[in-house]
Amino acid sequence: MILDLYETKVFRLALSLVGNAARAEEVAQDSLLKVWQALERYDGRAALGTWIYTITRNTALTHLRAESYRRTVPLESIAEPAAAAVSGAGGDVRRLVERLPEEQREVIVLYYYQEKSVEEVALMLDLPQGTVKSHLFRARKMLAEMMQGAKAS
Amino acid sequence: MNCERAQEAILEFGADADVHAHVAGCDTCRSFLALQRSLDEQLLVAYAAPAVGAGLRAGIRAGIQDEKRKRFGELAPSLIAPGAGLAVSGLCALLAPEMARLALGAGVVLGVASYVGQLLFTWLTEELGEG
Repeated sequence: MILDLYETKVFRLALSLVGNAARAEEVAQDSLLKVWQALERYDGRAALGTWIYTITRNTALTHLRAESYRRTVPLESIAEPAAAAVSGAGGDVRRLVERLPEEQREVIVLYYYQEKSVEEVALMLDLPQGTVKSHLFRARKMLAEMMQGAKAS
Repeated sequence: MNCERAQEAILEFGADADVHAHVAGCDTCRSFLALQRSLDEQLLVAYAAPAVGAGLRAGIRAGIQDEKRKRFGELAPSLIAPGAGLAVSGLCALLAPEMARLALGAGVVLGVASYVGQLLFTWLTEELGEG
């Protein structure tokens, strides 16, 4: 039941946080397993979705930390981390999104993954809807400026 | 309506009739709206979420099965003593039918007492360990 309801959402949240489908599946699997293990301790104080998304965010952060300890990053890849991974349609805009501040990037990526639902994004990131809208507003404004700047040069 | 307000409304996905009326007569805002629409389309393409792989569901189910086995493995030893006690009392009841009620009664009471005793012992040792 929980799997049916949350599998895709948890995967998309993980994907927005770790940025790679294979790793997102690992994170989603770990997160949903943790949810199953902790279900008997769920006290209903937070909404089920909020509780599941919190577990997912924490699991993604743990994965990212573990990854950063394991990996030695070549210096040349630090300047533009997304460039190597991006190709084909949407690649240009992805490169621009990578340059946004982290909180705006998370919101805009999830907004499109979640088929433009501000409510769902707010729930996933545990933010008020107004804050999500404000991040979206700033992100879109900044992206427009970057696109205009790119066209002008 | 001025350009600033019109562009804010476009960024908030709130372009109403007033905004469209302004945009119709303003080159700057018309190109801003076109840019936002193009950006929106590109973002939709770039961030179309890939479908969840079939391996995810299978992985979760396998993980849950492992966890269930692990939990049973942890529970099994605590069931051995009361289980053996009940089996012996059942055997006694078979061998001495005239005392069957006493043997079964004693078996159930001692079995339950030993299980509760083990739970208490485990709980106490964990509490002391954490303290």
